[in-house]
Amino acid sequence: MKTSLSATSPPDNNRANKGFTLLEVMVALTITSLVLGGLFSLAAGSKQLAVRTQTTLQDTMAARAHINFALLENEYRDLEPIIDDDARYQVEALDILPDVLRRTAPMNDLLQSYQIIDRDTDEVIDGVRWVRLELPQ
Amino acid sequence: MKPGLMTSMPGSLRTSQRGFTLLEIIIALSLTAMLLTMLTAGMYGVIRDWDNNAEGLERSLDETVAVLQLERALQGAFPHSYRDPDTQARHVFFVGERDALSWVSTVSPQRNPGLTAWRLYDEPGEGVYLQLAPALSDNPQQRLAAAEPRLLLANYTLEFSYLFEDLALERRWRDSWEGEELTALPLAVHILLRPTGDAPRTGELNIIAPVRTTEHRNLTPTTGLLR
Repeated sequence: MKTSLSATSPPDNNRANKGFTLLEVMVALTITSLVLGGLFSLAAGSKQLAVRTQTTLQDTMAARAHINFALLENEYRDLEPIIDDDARYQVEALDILPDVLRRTAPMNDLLQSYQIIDRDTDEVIDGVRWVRLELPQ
Repeated sequence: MKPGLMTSMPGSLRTSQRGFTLLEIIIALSLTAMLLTMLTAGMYGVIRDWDNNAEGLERSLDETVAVLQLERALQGAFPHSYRDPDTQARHVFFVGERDALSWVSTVSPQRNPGLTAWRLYDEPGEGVYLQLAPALSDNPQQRLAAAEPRLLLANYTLEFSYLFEDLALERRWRDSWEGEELTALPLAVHILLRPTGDAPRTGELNIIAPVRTTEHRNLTPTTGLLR
């Protein structure tokens, strides 16, 4: 009885008191740091997003002011000369908007939808502009 | 082998159950405390950064909406006329100065029916303020001055210019516009918003608003007086 107890319990006792191995601690630390790193990078990503959004907002406001300024000269002017960077932006004329109901006279001025495509970022701006035709339609 | 194990066990049992020494606990506790402090500091920094970003983003969204609203209100400017009670002459209400502008617009931010008088001015060191009042058939100047000013864009100064066409049909900008004498509105209004303060977040903002209706139905414009 005594010999069997002393033969079985000491190794148990020994293992329980051994504590963590280095490997276990390393694994635990790695998992913790991965989780924390993920959390921090999430915050950093949101910061980048916020900064980019702010820049985009300011750029949009500046672009709007520029377009308005250019259109002051002539409301029927093409947008192409306003946009300096031809390599980056591509202006695409789309359909003429459908006629209003009960139109009685032919018109020179029609509304046309257009798109400005940014080749670098694939952003698309939709808009509507006046076009003045040579012949009334 | 067995006896050796048996004799060594009790000794190792005693040492392994002895517990930590005070020194070990102190070292462990101080290490844990250091780690936690670093973690807390890091978290604090991250959270503060997050708050700053959210606040900045919200502010620039508000600014954008305000700028767009101003542009719309200027595009919808209306040649509102009133009768001078002394001389019985009719005047158009549009008081444009270098750093302040009062005008009547068909656009109202509260979607009230009727016309709204707007006044935009800057308070040095604070920002751009806006006053709104209903435009009735009289001169809205006094009602506008009594209206509660609201801070529209913090930390900005204003500079207005007004576009007109002279007798030679040449377009030029000028610094002021007296609707009372000219009985017409400018062709366009340009607002230059300059950020103030120690560390401006943005560059200069421009608002260019072409005015759609520049002439009153009955009153003849006297813009030919412009030099």
